[in-house]
Amino acid sequence: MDIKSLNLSSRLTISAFCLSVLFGVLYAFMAISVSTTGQLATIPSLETVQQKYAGILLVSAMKGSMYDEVSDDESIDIVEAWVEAGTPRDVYEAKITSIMDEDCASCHSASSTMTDAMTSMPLTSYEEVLTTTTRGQPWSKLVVETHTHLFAISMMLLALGLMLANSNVQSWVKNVLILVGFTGLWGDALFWTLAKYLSFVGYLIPFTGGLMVGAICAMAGIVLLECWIKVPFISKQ
Amino acid sequence: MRIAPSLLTVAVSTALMVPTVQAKTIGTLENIKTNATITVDGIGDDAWSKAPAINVHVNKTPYKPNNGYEGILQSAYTIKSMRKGTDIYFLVQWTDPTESLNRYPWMKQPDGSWKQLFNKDDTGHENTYYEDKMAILWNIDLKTFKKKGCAAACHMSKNGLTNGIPDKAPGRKYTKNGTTIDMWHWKGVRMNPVGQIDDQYIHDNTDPKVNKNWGRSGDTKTGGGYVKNKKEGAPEFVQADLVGDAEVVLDSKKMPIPADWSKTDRVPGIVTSPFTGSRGDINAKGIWKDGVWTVEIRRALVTNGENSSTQDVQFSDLSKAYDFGVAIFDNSQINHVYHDGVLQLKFK
Repeated sequence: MDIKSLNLSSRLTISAFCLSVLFGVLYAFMAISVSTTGQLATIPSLETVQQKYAGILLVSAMKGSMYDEVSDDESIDIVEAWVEAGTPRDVYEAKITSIMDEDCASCHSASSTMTDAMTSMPLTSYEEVLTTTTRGQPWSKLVVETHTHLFAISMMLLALGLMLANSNVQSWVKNVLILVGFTGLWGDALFWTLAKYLSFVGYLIPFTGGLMVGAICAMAGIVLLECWIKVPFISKQ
Repeated sequence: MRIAPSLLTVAVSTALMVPTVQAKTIGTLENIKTNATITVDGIGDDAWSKAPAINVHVNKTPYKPNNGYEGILQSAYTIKSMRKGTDIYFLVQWTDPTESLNRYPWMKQPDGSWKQLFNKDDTGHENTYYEDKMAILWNIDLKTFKKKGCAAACHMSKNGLTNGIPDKAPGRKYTKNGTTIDMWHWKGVRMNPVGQIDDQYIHDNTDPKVNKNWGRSGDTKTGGGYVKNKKEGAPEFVQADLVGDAEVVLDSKKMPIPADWSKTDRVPGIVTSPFTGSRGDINAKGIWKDGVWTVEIRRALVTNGENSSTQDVQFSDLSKAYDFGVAIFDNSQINHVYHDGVLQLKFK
């Protein structure tokens, strides 16, 4: 099967799918930006991404998406030292309560009715704050995100891979992109979990994610072009 | 579903290797010099057309009153600034579909008695019979204001406690030890008729026994101001030329209400006069028209009243940036519509 030989309706459908994927990637970037930096279109640093997946949840938030709410950078160090020391209650009472009260609990309170209230994640007591001192993503979130990620993106890679396989580009390009895409997907899922235990793995997540998203973009772009024109440089002679 | 960062993200982040998040300065207002005549009348002279504006989308509120809140939840706020001689001027506009001037009025009842209208929520605050207001907060020396704006002084109650003290109010304003914020509080009923802003400031008091408003106080005054028009369950004063929809009784015209008063069935709940002293430093006049409040403001660049160094922002160095934040109140005592982040004023 040659994509270009398909009827017009089929090529329109494939083109629309590829464009949807590319737009989806754009919005996924914004989702990453918001979840890591709190801004809509700010490129997160490797450190910020590593913190999100391998760092202490509370500290990662204070360094990343909640940074604008932190009055004093020194507060982040104090909270981090408290968690590293085993979250002693006396230190919480002496040092952490005031930080939570000043910078977090206005929104993170069960009784908050502020516009940005986060009543589902209160930070007004020792016990509540303790739930945010685990490393990496909490299991409850990780298992949901990982299986959704694997199911949804593997379906997208399957569709793009099959269409690419029937394109007129050179075979090595097809095989590399398909393998890179799936490798990135597996790496992402694996490293999200490993980062809970090995913090340096958090630094690898942007690279596996980058491989996966890069492959998806390349496949969608090639298939989109292939519907209408001969793709330059990589098409078979 | 989240997808990890793209190649672009990785490439740029790798090159930087530092956090890219910064404090949120959401707008810079440029003050320009003028020689034109500026009349503080809420109309806006032609000279304002040359002043650059910044637009601020205010869209956050601190709480939800339990008896309903019919005020606006967002507004388009615009501010301009000019200076002439030793004075600085501002032109502020914001959208508000209703003009609210009905602050705790007295209504005559069929039996001849008087009833003061109010409808307070469970925090003890009003959102029905109140007034439109607007506030500009200028940082004086609170370090965290530079990053968090007005939020640096805002302390919300958590589970009925503010700073560990039982408190019905949804939140309180106060600063860190020894620091202050200048608060320009324009009040559509209490101060607009006398052409002033209530010049207040926020300080570090957290003891309600010392000040029931915690860290919020008026600047030092020598006289004037507004008081409740109330004595023994009835209005105390009227004025000879009072009309039915009057916002206030002017102190300069007030007279004890006659026992046989029948000119109006409604009497304002406030008697007001201009502040004298530092609290009356700022002239302002607002006019509501077609769903927009327009307020013109004038103050000396540098004030020299009692305690002015701690109560007033001083625009004494025109080469530096001045941090500020804004909020509007739609017929509400404390529920205000504000923005995240901080604004800056720079002089050109």
